Amino acid sequence: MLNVENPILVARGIKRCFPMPGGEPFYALKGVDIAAPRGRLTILKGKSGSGKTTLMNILGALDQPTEGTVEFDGREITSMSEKELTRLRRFEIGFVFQSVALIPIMTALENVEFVLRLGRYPGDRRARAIECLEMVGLAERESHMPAQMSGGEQQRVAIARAIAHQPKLIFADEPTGALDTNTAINVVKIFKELCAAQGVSIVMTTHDTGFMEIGDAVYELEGGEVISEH
Amino acid sequence: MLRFVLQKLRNKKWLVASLLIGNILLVAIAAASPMYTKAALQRMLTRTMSDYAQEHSRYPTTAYIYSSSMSGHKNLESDAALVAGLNQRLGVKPMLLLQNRFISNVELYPELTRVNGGAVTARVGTLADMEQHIQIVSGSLYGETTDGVVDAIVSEKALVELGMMQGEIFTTNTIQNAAGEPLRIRIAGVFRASEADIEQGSQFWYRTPSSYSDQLFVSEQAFTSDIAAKNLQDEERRVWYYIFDYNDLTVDNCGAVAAAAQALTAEFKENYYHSFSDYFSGLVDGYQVEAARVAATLRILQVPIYVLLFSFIFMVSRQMLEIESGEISVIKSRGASRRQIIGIYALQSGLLELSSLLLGIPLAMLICQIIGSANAFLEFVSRSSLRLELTGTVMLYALAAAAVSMAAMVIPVFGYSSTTVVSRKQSKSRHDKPLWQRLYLDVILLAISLYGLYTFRGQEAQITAKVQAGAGLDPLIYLASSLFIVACGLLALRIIPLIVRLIYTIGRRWWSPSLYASYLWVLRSRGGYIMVFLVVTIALGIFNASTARTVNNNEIDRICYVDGGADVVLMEQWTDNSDAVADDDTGRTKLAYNEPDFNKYAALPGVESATRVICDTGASASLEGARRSNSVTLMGIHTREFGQTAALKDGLLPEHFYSYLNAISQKSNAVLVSENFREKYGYQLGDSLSYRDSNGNSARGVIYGFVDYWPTYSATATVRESDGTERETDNLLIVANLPYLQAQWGVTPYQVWLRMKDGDTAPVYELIERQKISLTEFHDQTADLISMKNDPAIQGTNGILTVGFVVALVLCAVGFLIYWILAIQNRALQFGIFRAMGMSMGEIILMLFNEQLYVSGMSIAVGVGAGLLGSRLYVPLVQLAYVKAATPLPLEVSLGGSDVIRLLIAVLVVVALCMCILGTIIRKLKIAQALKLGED
Repeated sequence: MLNVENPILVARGIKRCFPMPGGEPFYALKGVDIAAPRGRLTILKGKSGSGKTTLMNILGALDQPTEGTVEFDGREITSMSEKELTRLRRFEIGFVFQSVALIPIMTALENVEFVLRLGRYPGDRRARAIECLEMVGLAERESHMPAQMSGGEQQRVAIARAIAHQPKLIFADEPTGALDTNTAINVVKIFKELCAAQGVSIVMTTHDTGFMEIGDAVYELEGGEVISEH
Repeated sequence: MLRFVLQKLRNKKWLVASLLIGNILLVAIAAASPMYTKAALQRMLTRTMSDYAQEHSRYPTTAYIYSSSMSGHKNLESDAALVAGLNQRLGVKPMLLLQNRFISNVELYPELTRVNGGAVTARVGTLADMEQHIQIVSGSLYGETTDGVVDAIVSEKALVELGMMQGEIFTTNTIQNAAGEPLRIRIAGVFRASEADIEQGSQFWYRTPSSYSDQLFVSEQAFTSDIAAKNLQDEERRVWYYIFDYNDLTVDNCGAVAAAAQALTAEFKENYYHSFSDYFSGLVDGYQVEAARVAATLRILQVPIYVLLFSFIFMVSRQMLEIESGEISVIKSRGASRRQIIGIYALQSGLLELSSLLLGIPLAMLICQIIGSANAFLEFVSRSSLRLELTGTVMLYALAAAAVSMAAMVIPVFGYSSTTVVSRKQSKSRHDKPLWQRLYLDVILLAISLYGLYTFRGQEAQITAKVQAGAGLDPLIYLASSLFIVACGLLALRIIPLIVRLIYTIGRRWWSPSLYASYLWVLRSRGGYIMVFLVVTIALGIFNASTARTVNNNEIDRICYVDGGADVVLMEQWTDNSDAVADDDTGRTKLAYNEPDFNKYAALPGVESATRVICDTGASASLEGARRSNSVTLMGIHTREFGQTAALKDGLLPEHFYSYLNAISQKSNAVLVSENFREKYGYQLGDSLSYRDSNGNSARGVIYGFVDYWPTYSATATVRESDGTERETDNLLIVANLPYLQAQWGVTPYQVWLRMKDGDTAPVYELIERQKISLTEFHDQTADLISMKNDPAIQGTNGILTVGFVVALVLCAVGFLIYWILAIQNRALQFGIFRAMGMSMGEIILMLFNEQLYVSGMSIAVGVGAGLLGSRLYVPLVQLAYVKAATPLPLEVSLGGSDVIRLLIAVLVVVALCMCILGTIIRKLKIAQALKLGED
């Protein structure tokens, strides 16, 4: 584990075991230690099947580890109740998923606004939503339905949605996976700017080696273990 | 490919199960329809026959062949040959073939003259096989002919009628023996039907022994060798009774059998000396007319059930394709040819249809038995089970249903199979209004159905006349009602979103996340079909229920308040001194009646109350301006007893029935008169009126009240003119106090009205039987009600409407469940996103609940509304088809509140069940897993 000062997120000894039908249980994670620096971009790198999405789900409290603990902003989240977790997801964490995961019945603007509605955003929700869409360069597409946008555009809306309620930490699972190189670079740029300008911490996974040097902290996974970190 | 398909089916358990349920129901209903119709018609045919047997005490499926060989017509032998081959001509095997050969007008002289005995004219004959069916009461059976004397036996009745004595010997010149001498016949014995025959009700004594009151029976051998051989061929007559089991008469063969019998009748007519007649061909003709009517009615009533089933299949297969379209485009993008894709779906639906046929047909038989035992709407009794057959037609219907359903599942694949992932994603984005909405199909359908309603309302009289002339339910009327319901469903789909949009817009800023998301979902997801489906199903269910209830209740009311006013209404044969009156030229003898004992009824156990009622339909009244009306019904009642015995439906009169009785009990000459006295002739309360009974006795009365309705009274009567046309005339009613009339006129014939304990009329029958009372009038309300319920049209209607209702209920439940389970699977990703965004489980459930409130709740409300409104509008027209006789009672549409509640409970149970399943699914839903599921 990297020695990080005042980390936003610390995971210790994370193991995740999936029972296999009629065989040895499969360990997707075999004891992972990770620390994510505050206000920085942390990259989890690895090939397909290396366990990075499983790790991400556990870090984001979407899944429970078989063993190990996760501390978010000094609180242990692995032992939190469902109610506390819901609050955590609602107010302090944002997600950008591997597959585009906008709500199909809402327009771009409504998707972003919905998070604000959930997070009881005190100001003008609409203005804030537009501001976020502008940040990802999609203000003019506010009234489009997800199905009417390209994969990259959807991904950017997802990012706008993830940042709208100003969470402390954003998880992004392969946000560039389905995008062409230019768009991917754009997305990562947006992340960097967010970290710099708003002090948001970001944890993202990628299989793309090109982004290695952009990350403030990089963990490389293989076979459920961290093989390198810097 | 089969393995691929089987694996696919295994992976989609829910989908397959739901499609299978829909298809099994479809096949079952499709197969049940012709099976039930046929079985119902069969029962109707058999009942026609058994009713005839009961009413006329003779077996209906009997052909009677009379043959003689007079004037050179050699009929005997050819007719005998024909009778031998009759089973082929008619196509039914005989249960019994009776042959009676005889010589008529045989003059018999007793050898020993007696004081009270003389020459008699009788028939001498032989009845084939009679030995096995008789018992000898005295004497002995005929034996071998001895000393030239032929032994004969006679029935007890014949012995008396012919004035013979057992053992007596008669001589006849009509018949000579071998030596040319007059034949001698001895009355060897007297017979009656054997115990066994009586017990078994054998048809051998189809003509009872007493009906052979002038025939001497000899052995067949004696008849052939000693009688018929003696140049008497021309004198011999033969009668055959060809009796077959009426259960052998089926829906399929009855027409042919009747036609064969009619052809034979015509054939025989060409020659005067023989004849062929039967009782059944006329009955079959009548049955066929009625059967066509019933079959047409039953067919029409089934149409909505089919519509429901197909819309169900359509909805489910659409859901399936909606889910599978992703899969199709993936397979397509990976290089599968269009033919392969269609092949996969054809194989898949083929397997489904095969299973549906295997399970659906046995279910069809069960459904038929259920319909067959329907006694009223949603009421069942154990009846003799229906004769169900798996005919070719049944299989054809089942196969056709399966084929159509398969087409509904496969054809849309053609469209989908040409889409790839890309074009599919694009098409997903379109949110065009469906074609029917752009064409305003809902409004058009509604307009058509209302126009139909308007037109038919104007033709009620003609429709009634057509029905009286034998027509069945008019398909267009029924179609209009179904159209109305479908239009309501479609209109709901147009209007409900508008309401939701309004609510959504009003509170847009303040809606909590879950309400906000649910409104958007209701507005933007294409879940419309479930709404139409719910509306149509519920509305049809209610419409079915109201139709059945109204038809039943109207018939029951007619029987209870118009046909008879009490459980039993009877009138004994009254004797009078009219002979003496006619003989008395002086005119001093007054007509007087012998009053039968009334107390035997009042005292009969099981009778709760009894009353005497004069009911004279031939009375007259003097009207204003010295006119007389002859169409007056005069009733003389004993007010207190009448009130206890007779019944009048509540709400027909502005005040309670008893108030009117109390009114005329105040004064002996007070009368109640029908409303038309006031309307047509201007009478007022307190006016006096003079009237006469049909014997010419007159009385005066003071009007104490006007009534629109009265037990057994009908304000108009249909009079058939001599030229055959029918005309409606006013019928006037005067109700007077019986004691007053009797004080004025003495005792005149009256009816006896009885109210029985629990409506059980059996004691009255026993009394009549025991005391051998002869009646001129007899109404048994209980029996009338039973026979009404057994009426094939009413029974079939109840059965089919019950099934329609149950199918609606099942489909509503299953459809709802399927829709939701599929929708949930489809929305797993959405739930995952919502959860990841920080929505709690409770909020998601609230979101779903709110969706349901609008999608299901509003649909159910609209469905109930459309059903009730549709019933109010169309049931009055639909029920016309069942009105056999004009009823003066005002039509009341029975909306069957209990049925609506039953339907709602069923729907709510299903909704609750769905919510529980949903809740479990959501609770079990792992966010990470759901998100993974959502990945294509």
